Amino acid sequence: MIKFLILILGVVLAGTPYNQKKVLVLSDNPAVYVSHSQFFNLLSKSYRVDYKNIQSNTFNLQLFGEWQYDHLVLFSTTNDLKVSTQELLDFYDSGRNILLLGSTDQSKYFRKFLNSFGLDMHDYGSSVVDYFNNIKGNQNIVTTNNVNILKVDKPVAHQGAGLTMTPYETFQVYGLVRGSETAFSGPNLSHNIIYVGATQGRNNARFVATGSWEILSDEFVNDSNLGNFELAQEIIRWGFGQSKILKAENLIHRRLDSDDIKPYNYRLREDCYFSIDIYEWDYQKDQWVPYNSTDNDVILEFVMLDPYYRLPLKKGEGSKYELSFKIPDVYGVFQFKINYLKPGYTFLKIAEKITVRPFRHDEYGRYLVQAFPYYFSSFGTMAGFVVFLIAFLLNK
Amino acid sequence: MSSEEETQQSLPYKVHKSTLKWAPVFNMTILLSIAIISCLIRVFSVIRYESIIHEFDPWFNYRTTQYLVKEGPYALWNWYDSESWYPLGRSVGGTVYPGLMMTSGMIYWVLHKLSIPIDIRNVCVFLAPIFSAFTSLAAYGMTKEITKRSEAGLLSALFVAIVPSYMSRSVAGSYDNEGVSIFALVFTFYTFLKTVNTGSILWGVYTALAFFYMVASWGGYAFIINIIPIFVLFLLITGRSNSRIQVAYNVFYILGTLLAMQIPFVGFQALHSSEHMASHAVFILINFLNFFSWIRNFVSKKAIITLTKFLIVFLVFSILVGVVILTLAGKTQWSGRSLTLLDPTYAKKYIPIIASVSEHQATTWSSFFFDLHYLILFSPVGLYYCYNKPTETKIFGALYTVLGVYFASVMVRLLLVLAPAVSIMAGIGISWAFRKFAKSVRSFILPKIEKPKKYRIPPEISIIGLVILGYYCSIYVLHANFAGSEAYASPSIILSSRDRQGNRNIIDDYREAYYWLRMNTRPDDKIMSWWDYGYQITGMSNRTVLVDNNTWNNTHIATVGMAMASSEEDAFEICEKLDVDYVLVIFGGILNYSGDDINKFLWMVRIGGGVYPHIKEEDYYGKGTYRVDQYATETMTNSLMYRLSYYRFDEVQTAYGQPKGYDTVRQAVIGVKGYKLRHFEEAFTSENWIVRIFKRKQRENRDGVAFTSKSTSQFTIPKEFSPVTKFSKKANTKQRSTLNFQNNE
Repeated sequence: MIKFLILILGVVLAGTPYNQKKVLVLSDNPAVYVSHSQFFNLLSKSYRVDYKNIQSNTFNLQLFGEWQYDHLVLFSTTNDLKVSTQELLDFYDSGRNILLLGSTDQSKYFRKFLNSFGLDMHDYGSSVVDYFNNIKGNQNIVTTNNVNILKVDKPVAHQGAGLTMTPYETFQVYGLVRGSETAFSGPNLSHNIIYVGATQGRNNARFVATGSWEILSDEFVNDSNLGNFELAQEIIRWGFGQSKILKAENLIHRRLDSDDIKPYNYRLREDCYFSIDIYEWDYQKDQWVPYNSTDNDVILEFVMLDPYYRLPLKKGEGSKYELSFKIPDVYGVFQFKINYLKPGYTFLKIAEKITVRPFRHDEYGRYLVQAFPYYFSSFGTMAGFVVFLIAFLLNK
Repeated sequence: MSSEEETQQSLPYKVHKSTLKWAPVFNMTILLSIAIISCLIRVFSVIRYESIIHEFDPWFNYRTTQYLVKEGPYALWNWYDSESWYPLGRSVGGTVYPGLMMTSGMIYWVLHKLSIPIDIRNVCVFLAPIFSAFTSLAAYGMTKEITKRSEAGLLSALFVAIVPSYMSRSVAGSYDNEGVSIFALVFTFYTFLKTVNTGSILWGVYTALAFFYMVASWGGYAFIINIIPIFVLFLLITGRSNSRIQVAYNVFYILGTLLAMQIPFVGFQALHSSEHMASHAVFILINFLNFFSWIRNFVSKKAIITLTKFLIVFLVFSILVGVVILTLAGKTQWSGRSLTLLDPTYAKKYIPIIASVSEHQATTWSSFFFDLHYLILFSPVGLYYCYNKPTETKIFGALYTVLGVYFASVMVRLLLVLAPAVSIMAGIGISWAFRKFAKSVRSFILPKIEKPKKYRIPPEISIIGLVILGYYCSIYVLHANFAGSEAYASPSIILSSRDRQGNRNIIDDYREAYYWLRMNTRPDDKIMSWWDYGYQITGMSNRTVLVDNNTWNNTHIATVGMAMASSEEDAFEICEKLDVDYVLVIFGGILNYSGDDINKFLWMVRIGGGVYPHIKEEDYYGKGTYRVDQYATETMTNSLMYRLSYYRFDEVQTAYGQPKGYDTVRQAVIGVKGYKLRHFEEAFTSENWIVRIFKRKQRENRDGVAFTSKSTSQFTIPKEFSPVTKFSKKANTKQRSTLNFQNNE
């Protein structure tokens, strides 16, 4: 039966266009096709899905230095992968995405793997309990409304282990789905229980981990009272880099009163205009659309060692973010810097170097009002000298 | 034929007569040959190596000259150089003495107008030798003004032309301010003495112009603006002042100060810096005394006494008040270098950045002797001669020498200022001795012409004396020749060694590395190195550097010192903040090249620690001494400088019979072996490992994210399991040193 399913899947896959992105699904139990059929349906809508047994040697993540897949879905098990964690991390660090469906009894291999993304699985065998937010009084099937970044309206059900985040400050790790206030798991209290956690690398590769397989299983996904279907959709979209993708281009800076784009240098105290186009990827229209930042949070820094300015860019027409300001009274090599680290979105790190030069010798005022006594005294001395000369010569 | 006529016809008399007749021709010929010799003796460096700019500072001067020739003088004046002192930049036009560049620019333009297509590099390389010829001419003139004797002038010219101290700064390729400004110095003194002798306002104007050229070319002009007032004050005190002195000083002071203000780098410093205070005070004093003596003609004697008392009290009081107010208001202050001159221990105590420069060290006896040789023995004779029958000009020469000796003993580089003085004094002294000896010999050969005196030296002793003096002079010439051809010919960016067969091997690591930078890095990459190499990197590689030899911002240098002295992790943070792309270190452990960065490292620690107190010098001493072997401290072996210098050093055998990783300079086996770099990767190492360049890696993708949890560590870990990252909880919670960047402008 299972072999037959795989065969059908293979036939289906063979028909998909080659340039579609490839997803490798690794599990030691082919039954996931049955238990997670909805999830696989969603996946195969937009990706070529390749299923391999975790223990098999028949797949290569990397062949001749080329990565063979674009995304990876891991069903964690008690067994270890044949592939080393370092290779998986290299896969991720090369800008590819990983989705890990965890389980309470997963091996140390997967726990370590989670750790290197700043996430941690609760203790072995422990699962989340919630006496208030659950389904049909079963305290092990917990629900929560606490979904961040992803767009899920209905409560999400979860069964199994929870995750915790790294205790250290970092902007790269998020809890996508967090436990409700009444959830607990062994010693872990509600505020740090995460059902679905995520990590975004500096290269914007995304990693999503769930506490258990069940959160994406058909049992929950098919339940129309629950938001798990939307969650599965959103996890695939966000985790595999379709939604909340930003790009910035067309950086322009110029003197406010000139059209000369990106001049060789600026003089201090000049008025300067800066603009940049920021787009967001719209997966429905399949094209880039202007990005609308909600609350003036695109900040431009004007930096030389320290920021001299830290100003929010104003939303202009279309995708334009713009600002004009006066260059400070300091010369040096400055940088326009945008460091846009909005949770869930692609990190935008933009730096543009410019030189701010001091006044040229002929740019100072020629006659200063406060210097008139000096002018008067010097010309007076000259005149006096002439008078003296004449008097001196005539008297002889 | 009378017997007298007969003696007139004898050979010695004939020779004597025709010698007298041809003396001016001899004089000029000898002077010209001296000028030519002074030029030629400095070209050894080009013959032995090639026509190349030497050392450190000349590379900046060369780059500036290139800019001047390409863009013109106004562009140079307004040049804001964003390639140095990243990200502060340097406003070159206002912080440079343009005399040197303008000189070579003028030569270049004139030659090109005459359709001689000379390369600007060759103008720069050969500028100093040409100016040394001018210096010897000026020294001739100055000595002649002091003694009124041309033979003393010729000897002085010869001594100046080949004095090793001056040669060290003016060999071909040593394109530095000193190359032209020693000429300007001697020439200013020559014109000043001429004014003192003639009392001519015209010569006073020439003095001011020569002084202007000096101000335009070197910060050492402070020496002139102090020594001339001191000289005038000395004459005033000893009652030797006269109207010629007044003319000379007033014209020099007024025009000179006005002209000095025209140089952007000096500007109003000519009025309010402490280096100029003496000149203002003496100007006021000399004119006040003049005015006072004029008033004396009209007032009764009794009134004069009261007036004198009143004026003295008034003057002293006002000067005191003025000085106190100016100092308290911070309107006038001494620069660090000048304070070091007044108090030689000042820099060591307060400004490590000045103390770290080898040419700012106190002069040792050996360098005194090597750089001046027998001149230090001869010059006291000249001094004695000057004090014996003093005139104004002789007093000036003597004062110049005495002050020069003081300054030269404080700083090695000021030997250069002393060298002309000592040469002139030695020339005067030796020519005096020669004259005495020659007179006695002459009176022996030509008894009729030379009338015998009472205390004549016996001719036998005179001949011995002549031979001995001649011998010493020739030894001096030989020494100068050696210094010019061997000791000071090395460009220092090209090294040479001799192997066992005596063949010379050229070691060209510096240029190899700089060329690599030029060809293999992006044009706007930032290179971090210790400041010594800044000018060379911008000059040869055309890349941006953080600090360079113009050490104007101590904080910025201290930040680089801190980066070098910090652990790799901390250094990475600093480098990222400063946008550093490459780190360049100089390493001599393979070639036994002792001028490398590990040996300079303590200065980086000191300078860094001066601004960032968490860097402590004693942390870098293992067992009480500075060492790199197994007893080196953890701070030392963890420092970026150590890590970069010795990266993979333990894989090479450097000396016979020593284990791998044996450092030939420190003569020790390095303490840490087989380590890996996490945030830097080796980009380039030159043939003899002298220059090593490391690239800063991008911040890791998940830096600061990964950790090891308790639940994971409670598992029993299979032995073959390798940890995913090197991070541990401990490493992560470790307090990072707080970085405090300041912009000290």
